[in-house]
Amino acid sequence: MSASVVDVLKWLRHGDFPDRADHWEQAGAVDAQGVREAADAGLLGLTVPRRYGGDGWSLPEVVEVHRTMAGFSPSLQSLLVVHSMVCQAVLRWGRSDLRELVLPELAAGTKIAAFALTEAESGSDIRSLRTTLAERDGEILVTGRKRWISFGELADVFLVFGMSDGGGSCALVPAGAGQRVSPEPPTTGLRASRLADIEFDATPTSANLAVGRPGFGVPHVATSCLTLGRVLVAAAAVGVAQAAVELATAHAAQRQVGGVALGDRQLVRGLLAEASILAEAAWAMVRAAAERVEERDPEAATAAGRAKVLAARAVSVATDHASRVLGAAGLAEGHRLTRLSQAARTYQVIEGPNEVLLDLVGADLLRREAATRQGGDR
Amino acid sequence: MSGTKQVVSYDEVHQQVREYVLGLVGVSELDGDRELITEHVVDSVAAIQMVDFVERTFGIEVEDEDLELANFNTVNGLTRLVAEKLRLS
Ligand SMILES: Cc1cc2nc3c(=O)[nH]c(=O)nc-3n(C[C@H](O)[C@H](O)[C@H](O)COP(=O)(O)OP(=O)(O)OC[C@H]3O[C@@H](n4cnc5c(N)ncnc54)[C@H](O)[C@@H]3O)c2cc1C
Repeated sequence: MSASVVDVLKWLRHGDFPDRADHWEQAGAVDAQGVREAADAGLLGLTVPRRYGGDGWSLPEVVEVHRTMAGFSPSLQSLLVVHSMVCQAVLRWGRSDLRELVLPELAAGTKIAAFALTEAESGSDIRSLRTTLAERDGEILVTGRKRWISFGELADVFLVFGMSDGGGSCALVPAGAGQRVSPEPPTTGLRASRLADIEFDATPTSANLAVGRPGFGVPHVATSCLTLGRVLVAAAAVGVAQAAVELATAHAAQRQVGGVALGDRQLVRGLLAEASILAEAAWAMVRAAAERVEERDPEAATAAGRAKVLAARAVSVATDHASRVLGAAGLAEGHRLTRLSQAARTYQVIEGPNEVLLDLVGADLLRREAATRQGGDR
Repeated sequence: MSGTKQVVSYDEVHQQVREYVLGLVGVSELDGDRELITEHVVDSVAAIQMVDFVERTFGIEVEDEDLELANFNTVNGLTRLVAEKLRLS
């Protein structure tokens, strides 16, 4: 399956995709058929190299699709995020036989992957995982409970993170025996993303499905996945911000209040302008971060964190401003803007809450300052 | 790979790795055997940065068999890994 950027963008913007996406968000669930169609359009293999049956796109191309898709279906976009994160884990940290074994299925979307890191007691702090991965006789037994796992209800395989004798580790665990998957209560944003609460009770998986050696699952595998995830979620936040700006601008152009078009009022133009400027700035940063990740630049993780923070801010301001411009109409339940605003709130938290990322960027600044100072002493 | 430099000696590898890690940690001195990851001297982002740095700077590819904590946990371990991959003695 090999799709061109232009074809995919056409598929997203035209045809019945926007209507179907609307239906999933309203119904609170992306259905299995929706996932299948995304797979058939080649969307699940965008980041996977062609030699494994993927589309082999570069990340700067991939973010374009994420931005566009999130404007229609933030939930389906989140499937692409977690699935790509798992593909990335296997591609970068998996043994060559594991890559040959699983990447073709993941790229084709015949298997759907979910990313199982978060626990009730371990959200943004990934060093305190309680799940255990115990290896014995060629098998790994997984025990623990994972929360808020996007598309956990539909996934065929989970990338599960936990502690082993050798430190933080991770392994692919096929869905099935020895686990209990229950739906999470729907979240306000990304409510169609089939969130699951998953309990693993000494669930066996083959030792060959371990990704990276013990001690590398956390920090290395998790962090490189989260870096990719941050760029993709930032792209989604920009898409949602731009969709909000478009809605607000269209409304301002035609709505008359007191005999004057809203768009003729300076304060309203100011709201639109501010939202649009932030969204475009965030987009430039997302693309720059995507290039760094693509090039495996050592600064990629901080660039991704910076882009995610700005994109989260942009989407927050844009949906807020748009909501004011649209007035009551835009506050109605089921209105597209309401869903965009709810997604905006979710983007402040997932893939690293703002505060955590600001801390990461601030720590980097201080480290550089210290290095410059120490460099003078050397 | 862009940024790849021709490195000739073990000492030069050691020097470049050491400089980079000193910058990451923000200190002027660091024992070559100090445990960076297991003792949380570097955070998770810096742990990845070290892998990206040696791959890019020395044009090597870190593969699964290289993923031994001993290769990434200390300045000396990283130096040995790069030197081995570049077949330096
Ligand atoms: C829709 C949705 C989908 C998700 N999908 C997945 C998934 O597929 N896989 C998965 O593993 N997880 C998933 N999650 C979980 C998500 O990754 C976590 O919600 C996120 O990591 C934050 O963890 P937490 O919610 O436990 O918040 P906490 O870690 O409890 O943090 C709460 C708040 O505390 C503040 N805070 C935390 N740390 C710091 C700090 N160091 N400095 C300052 N302030 C801080 C921040 O304001 C933060 O928002 C999903 C969540 C949602 C809502």
